[in-house]
Amino acid sequence: MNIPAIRAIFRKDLLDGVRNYHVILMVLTPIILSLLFSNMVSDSKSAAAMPEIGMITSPQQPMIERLTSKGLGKKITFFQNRDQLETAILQGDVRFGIILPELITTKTTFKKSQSVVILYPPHMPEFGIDTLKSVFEAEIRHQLNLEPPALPFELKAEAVAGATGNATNVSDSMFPMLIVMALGMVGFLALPMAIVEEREKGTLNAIFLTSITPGEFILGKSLFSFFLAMLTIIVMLTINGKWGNNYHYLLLISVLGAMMTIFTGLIIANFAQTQGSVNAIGTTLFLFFQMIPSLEHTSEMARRVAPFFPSTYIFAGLRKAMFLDLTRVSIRDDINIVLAITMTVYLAAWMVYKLKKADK
Amino acid sequence: MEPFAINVCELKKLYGTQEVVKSISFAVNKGEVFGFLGPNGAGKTTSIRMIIGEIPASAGKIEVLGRAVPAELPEIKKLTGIVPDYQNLYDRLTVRQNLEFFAALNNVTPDQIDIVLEEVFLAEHQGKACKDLSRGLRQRALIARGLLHRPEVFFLDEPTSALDPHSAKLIRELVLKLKCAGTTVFLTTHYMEEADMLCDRIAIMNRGTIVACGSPENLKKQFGRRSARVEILRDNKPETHEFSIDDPSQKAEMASMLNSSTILRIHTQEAKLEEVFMHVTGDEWKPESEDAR
Repeated sequence: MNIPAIRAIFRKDLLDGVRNYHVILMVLTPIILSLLFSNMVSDSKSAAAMPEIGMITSPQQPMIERLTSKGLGKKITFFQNRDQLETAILQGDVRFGIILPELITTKTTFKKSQSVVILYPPHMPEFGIDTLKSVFEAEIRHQLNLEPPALPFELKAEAVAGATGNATNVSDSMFPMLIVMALGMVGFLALPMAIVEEREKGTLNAIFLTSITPGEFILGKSLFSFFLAMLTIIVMLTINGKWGNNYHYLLLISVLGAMMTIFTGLIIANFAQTQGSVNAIGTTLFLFFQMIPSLEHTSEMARRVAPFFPSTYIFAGLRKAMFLDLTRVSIRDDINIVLAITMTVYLAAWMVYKLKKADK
Repeated sequence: MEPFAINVCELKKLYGTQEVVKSISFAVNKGEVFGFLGPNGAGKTTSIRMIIGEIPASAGKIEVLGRAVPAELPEIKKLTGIVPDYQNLYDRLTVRQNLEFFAALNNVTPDQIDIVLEEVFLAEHQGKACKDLSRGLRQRALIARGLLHRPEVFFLDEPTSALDPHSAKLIRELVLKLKCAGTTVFLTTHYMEEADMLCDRIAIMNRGTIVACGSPENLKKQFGRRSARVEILRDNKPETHEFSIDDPSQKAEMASMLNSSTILRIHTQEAKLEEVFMHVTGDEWKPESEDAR
């Protein structure tokens, strides 16, 4: 084994790497993402792990003191009735709700026929519901100093009435994330990669020696990418039977999302000179695009930056269209924001190509 | 009717402050094979790229078939075909799929594909992916692509570079066929014999300027040196001497030697284009016999 040669290669790559923005981006991206989800910057981890709870109960309920204590630190919002609480859950103002009868103050005051209800959004996966139930049961046991096995009252978990009306399974809850992923893959990576490959191999020169115009070429490429993104989404929805009742909204948001990522991909293709550059830039954007809305609730920091990412609105729109009852929640704001961002990115792409043409 | 296939007048190209093409002028007649020669970095490819409108000229005038570049480029593109000096095919597609794509871009009917495939002897390989073809076959596929729309002016940038002799011969035959069909061929090559064989006229470029232009015969007359290799027997030992026939002093020396010695063999050689090239590009040809003498 030629150790000096291996060492020389390592040194060369190290020296090259610190001057190569592809490498720097690839290294920095996971670091920045890890910071976003680590809560180093703001709240404690336990506080972030404790999502906001909506409650219907008396403010004198002793459980509240425990839930809001320094150790657990949950944020509690009180509601007057179940309808208000359900709407807040559907809108995402609170993560889940608890209806806690006032009389459960000591183990001698409850009646067997009474129940504690945990309300959860319809897109919450089963494992999340189970976790929620077991955590809350443990808290009640601790509060009332109850021993196993059975609780002396009923602990019910109920989905807030959504489009499906039922709790969803894990794969259901992942669907909006998978659609966002498909949009990002095609727009941020596949399209610019295809354009830059043409440039690298010189086939772009051959194309432009025919009478085709750059605009026609870009349109052709964009249309194929659009087709690819939509085909992926349609196949995903069809083979899994996930169209639901709001399929027109689902399609509309997917179409706008595909256009947004494709216009972004055209901008990437303009600046990236090699497929390596596309990989670096596209993957970076893709990771933020994909991860921020999916993991928005995992940290306070992520929650704060999420509104600045267009994928947050695509994700929210898709989730509403797939799982929620749109007579109770509004999807229009999400669609309007996605539309506005798509048009902005289109204008940006148009300007980039105009400037490039003028530069030539 | 336009008199020239290509007319270039005081063409310049600057990259920053560096002038890579320095005010060159030349004209290519319709139907001729025009050779554009020069060492690497002479500015040939830059000139071609300006002529076909791929990059803008810094100054000067270019006309292709009487149409101005770049103002009438869309029209010019329909009348010109190009085979670049690199093999830019879609490797994952078959030969036919490549041609179908470019036929569609050029508004050419699919039956034209079969015609060009026959012309370049690629019909039997049309179903193969380009990545599976030899370099020679790929070069023929590029020529087929360039010929799809029956261009009146055909640019061939080093078409036989790194090809085996059979493939190179086939491509040279194709060039001659095109010439017979009345197509103007603009050829760059590093093979002087090829240029000598194919070209009606040649321009040699060096360091951004055209240093010689004319028919191969005229260039050889103007810059070449005819030589003679003489083998004689002197003191029962064979000796070899080489003389430039065009140099009067060497010619006299050779005559004197032939009169006073036993001649074993005389071999005369006409001027070569390679010598012209070396001469005009600054690396003057020196006959081997100069060292021997």
